Amino acid sequence: MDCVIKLPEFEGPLDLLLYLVHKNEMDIFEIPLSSITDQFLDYVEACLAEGRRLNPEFLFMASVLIHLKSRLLIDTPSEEETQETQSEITTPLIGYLSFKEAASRLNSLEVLFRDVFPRRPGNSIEEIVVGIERELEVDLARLTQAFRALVKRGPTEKITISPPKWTVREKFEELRSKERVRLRELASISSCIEEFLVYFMALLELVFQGIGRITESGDEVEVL
Amino acid sequence: MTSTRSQRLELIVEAILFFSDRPLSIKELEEILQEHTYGEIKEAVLSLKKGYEAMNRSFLLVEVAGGFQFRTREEFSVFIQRLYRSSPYRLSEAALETLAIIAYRQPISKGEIEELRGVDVSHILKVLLEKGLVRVAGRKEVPGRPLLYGTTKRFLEVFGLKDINHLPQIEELAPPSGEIHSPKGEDGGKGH
Repeated sequence: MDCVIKLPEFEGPLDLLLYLVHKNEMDIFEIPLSSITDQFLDYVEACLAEGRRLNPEFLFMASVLIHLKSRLLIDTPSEEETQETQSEITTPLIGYLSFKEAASRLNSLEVLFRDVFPRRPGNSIEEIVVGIERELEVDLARLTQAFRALVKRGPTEKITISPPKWTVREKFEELRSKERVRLRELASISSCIEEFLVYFMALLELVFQGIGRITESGDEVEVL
Repeated sequence: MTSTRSQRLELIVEAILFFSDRPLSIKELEEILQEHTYGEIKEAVLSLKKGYEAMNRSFLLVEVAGGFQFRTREEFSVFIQRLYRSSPYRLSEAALETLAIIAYRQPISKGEIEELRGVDVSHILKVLLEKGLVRVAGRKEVPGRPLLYGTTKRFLEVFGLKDINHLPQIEELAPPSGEIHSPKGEDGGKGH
């Protein structure tokens, strides 16, 4: 339930009232604060009586309005200052409200698998068609996932710590000379996790520099 | 291009798009159909799209996420849902709001989102990342170099948007820095 405020000059949800104040379409001095507070308390009681959860946004908006008005009453500021105080308090809230609006607009779009449906996915087209591979949107979470999965599968021998045997630069050049490589291949040619890690870092460097391109087909990552 | 050749191309494009499990862009079609030019393919796709609209069937060829995909019309969703076992796409209100903030203000850091939302968004952000709707889009060059978030192609697919410039227009969310341009073209007025 939206709490609807009824005033001589206004009837509607509180967020609308706040919006109008922000837009200067209603004068904050004209708003009978005690009436809003009363209606607000009635709303709170009604919510509690029905065992409903209080809408925290409402609470927030009511307090913003009260804060706004009390500040203006105490300071008896100039027109300009009034304006300033008003927007100082309401601007962030209006920002927030507009994102709420944006969210509901997104939700009213034709959402996939709710309102509209594509053909049922069978085999991924990449598995069947040669020549079109979907470019992976480089995503740290997925790359880390892929790395972890391969480490699990990778070499299990004990690691002895010794001066670095491999450098990112060296692996970078090696990968660069290749036209295409599978992440899985890198794991299998690596003698230990360290080497694989260096490969992986070189790979990221390639992509970072825009030389490499990562594509996905199934669960595999490829470098072109 | 002779008319039989262009009709034939339209059928070829139809077959490929019918078979594809995701939106295909004209550029991708061009890679498969090397004997045809980009312009010819584009013409074929658009003619096919118009054709389906005119036929008034239960599905349409929709331009989404930079590509084209056959999708059922919205009015039949109820019936498909009876068949489609997994639960429809659902996001909590909080997640949707966070997603909206990211969509309209990308690239944006977690701190900036929290400033707007007034609450911690770590968990929601994780959910959105896992669902593939949001991605890490870089780092902000300020002390601490916080991660910046943006929306993905999947986001466009899920919300049926041609591209990020086709977000519904919201007066108060006019881009401050011009990162998101106002929609151009025929459905530019959709957001009003």
